[in-house]
Amino acid sequence: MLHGPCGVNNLQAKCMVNGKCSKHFPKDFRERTDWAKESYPLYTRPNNGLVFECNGARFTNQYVVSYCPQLLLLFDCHLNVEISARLGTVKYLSKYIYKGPDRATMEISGGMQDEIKAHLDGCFIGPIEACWKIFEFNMHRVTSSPTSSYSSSQ
Amino acid sequence: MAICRHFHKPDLFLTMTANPKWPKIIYSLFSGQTATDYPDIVSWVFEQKKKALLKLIDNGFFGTTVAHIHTIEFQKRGLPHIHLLIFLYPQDHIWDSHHINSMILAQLPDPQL
Repeated sequence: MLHGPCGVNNLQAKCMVNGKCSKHFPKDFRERTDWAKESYPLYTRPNNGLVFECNGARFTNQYVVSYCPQLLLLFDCHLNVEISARLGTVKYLSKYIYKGPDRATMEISGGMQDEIKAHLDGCFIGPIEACWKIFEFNMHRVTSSPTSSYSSSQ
Repeated sequence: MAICRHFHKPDLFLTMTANPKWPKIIYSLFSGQTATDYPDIVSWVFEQKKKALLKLIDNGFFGTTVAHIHTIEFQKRGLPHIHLLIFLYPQDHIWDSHHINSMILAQLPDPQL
């Protein structure tokens, strides 16, 4: 899993904010993994000269997103693993539950100009998401949810 | 926050996106079709992969798990995407950099392999 190309090579990349990559790529080379508690670990990125070329872009170890090699081999898809250092990640997951469906603003204009013109706050559901809901697969799951002692004593 | 109070801090954060070129999807298509023509197959295959992943993790791939939380979201392109948080037992907590290196890498793989 590689990030980019962004930075000096591609200033038009989506992750670029004010001329810098918002995901902090490319990261510095590092000979060993450092980890201070309560922060994200800094993984080993040796400067060993390995270069991967794809679509004319050159990637070194600086552009690699953290991954688990065994899982990648088993599942053959985009699969990233990271040490979760902050409590905020739980909140981040809950955000998706309560965010609601994606919305798109549409403008309908018919053959007769200026006659049919309406703005709709449409609910955007992709075909795969529609199938997912038809099959009644769950959108989120907590293995065991803690219940408050107050409500259980009622 | 109640979840964190109960299980303490989550240990691992994993994201997985469906791959439209998974062999199971490709074999189900007729020539000239792409995965976007069959959203039902893509969602079925992703559900199966998700179950396999959760089973693997529950069987102690990263260590004994206390609990996990996951949410599914759909990208604008339509592919499903899972965010998974894993809580490990205290004795399997990640303590040092050697432990991290055995599980997570952030470097290009050796071309000799």
